[in-house]
Amino acid sequence: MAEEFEPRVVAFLCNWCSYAGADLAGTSRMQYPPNVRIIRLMCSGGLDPMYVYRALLGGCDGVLIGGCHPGDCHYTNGNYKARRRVAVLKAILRELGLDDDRVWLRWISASEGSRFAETIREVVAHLKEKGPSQLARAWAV
Amino acid sequence: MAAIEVKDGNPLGAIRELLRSLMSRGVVGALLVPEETPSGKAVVHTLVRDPARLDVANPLAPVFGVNAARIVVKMCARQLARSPAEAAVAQVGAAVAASAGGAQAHDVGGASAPRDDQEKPAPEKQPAAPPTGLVLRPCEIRALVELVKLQQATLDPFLVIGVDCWGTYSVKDYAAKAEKCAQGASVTAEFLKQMAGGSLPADLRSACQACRRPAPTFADIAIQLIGEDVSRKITVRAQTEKGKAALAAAGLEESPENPERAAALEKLAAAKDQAAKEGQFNFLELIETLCINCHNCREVCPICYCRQCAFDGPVFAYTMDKYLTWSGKKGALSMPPDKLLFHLTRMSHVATSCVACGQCEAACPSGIPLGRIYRRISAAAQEALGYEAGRSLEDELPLATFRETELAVVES
Repeated sequence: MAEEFEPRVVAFLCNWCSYAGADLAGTSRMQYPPNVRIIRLMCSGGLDPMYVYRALLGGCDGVLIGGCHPGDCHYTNGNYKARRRVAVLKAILRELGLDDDRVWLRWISASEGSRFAETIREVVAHLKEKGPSQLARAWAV
Repeated sequence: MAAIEVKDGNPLGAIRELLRSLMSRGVVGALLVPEETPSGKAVVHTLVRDPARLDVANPLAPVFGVNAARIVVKMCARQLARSPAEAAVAQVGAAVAASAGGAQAHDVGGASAPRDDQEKPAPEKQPAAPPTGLVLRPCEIRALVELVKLQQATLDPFLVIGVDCWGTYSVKDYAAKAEKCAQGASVTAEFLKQMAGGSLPADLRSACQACRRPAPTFADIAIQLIGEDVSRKITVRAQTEKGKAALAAAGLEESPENPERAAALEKLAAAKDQAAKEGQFNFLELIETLCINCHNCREVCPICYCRQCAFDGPVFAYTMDKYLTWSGKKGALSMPPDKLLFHLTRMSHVATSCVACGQCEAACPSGIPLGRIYRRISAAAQEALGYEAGRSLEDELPLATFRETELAVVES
């Protein structure tokens, strides 16, 4: 029997909300798939799309960007700006005929450990259904 | 607003006359204008101070060498590149001068506040040097508008003279056509004749074939050709206070807007839309097979203004061990490893300000249809954020602003 496809996910999480949410999920012993690698940022607004592409080209099947809920940004409005950047990024991917649903933007607060665990479950299930990424092949690390 | 009569069916002569009168009456101190080279096979941007040199100025030549917005950035660079300390001193100086009635408030515009300066009433001051006229195509103006908003250029020392543009040939095609031209004829005259007939040549640059914006979005003075019988008359309109003052000083009379212009622009746009729809491409395959990683597209792009590109620095440079590890995992690693990453990153960085001038395509030695690709991705990105690059100085840069409730569709 063929091995089940295990997608690789990179999660860019902001220091103040989503990363703390992931931490809470861990300390609360919540179960979620081990397919995710977390990279902590100070703010989702500080994420250059370059790093999202780098992850997708580097062999990753999906990218999750986690930020504070609208209105809750530690830096007032970084998450709103992240949302605009992600909109551009997705528009470009779509226009080039690439999957834009491999990039997820989700607001996860520091108290939402269960939402973080649930998000990872959703992302991984979605990517398992989609299969390996076309872009990962272009620079197969 | 004014119309100029064209003598002997030669619109170029009329435009040269207009430029000459702007210069000889001191309305502009210099002009950045395309000038024919002695061989007649090319047109290059030239900074002219001697009115006699305007005899070979040719803003109508259907050829696009350098996007002049890049030249303007170069001209502004030293003024805008002052250290933060100097800029702060200048700002304080401006505030003091303004509150004191502003004897010298003029000379302090800079990177920090070019737009604020425009809004202040003009202070009384010793006679300033007349502005430098910039004779630009619509796509050059759009790029310049973006660069002003990106704080890479200022409009303060300039008078922008925009000229309608039906489209251009590549420098190579233009040179070949000029070579074939009979004695006494010129590519420009032939082209204008063809435009009067209303048929677009099939060998225009591909960006021009699909360009929907043949008229300047912003100009102090607009030279309007589309919808005119240019062998008889050209409409010249002032679109800003600065432009009005300049035309008045040049002694040009007012005349109404050309009523046929709107319909002519619409017709031209429809013809170009048809061209824009054609052509599919497989982006991944194009880059993987054709890109030679020369980064020329970045070098000629008016919007790619960073002084230090991430791809020239150590951000994606790794040790040999790393490359070997990655290669070992899959069996083989495509090298250089950042070819596709470069293109995707550049797209994300310029998409919201791309004006679809197509210079990236002209610069590509492998003939990747970058102009068409960028036109598509930038249109999608700008539509997503409700922005149109180069449309106006007032629209905020879309990545520097936000609305609280928007784009819920990108959240997962």
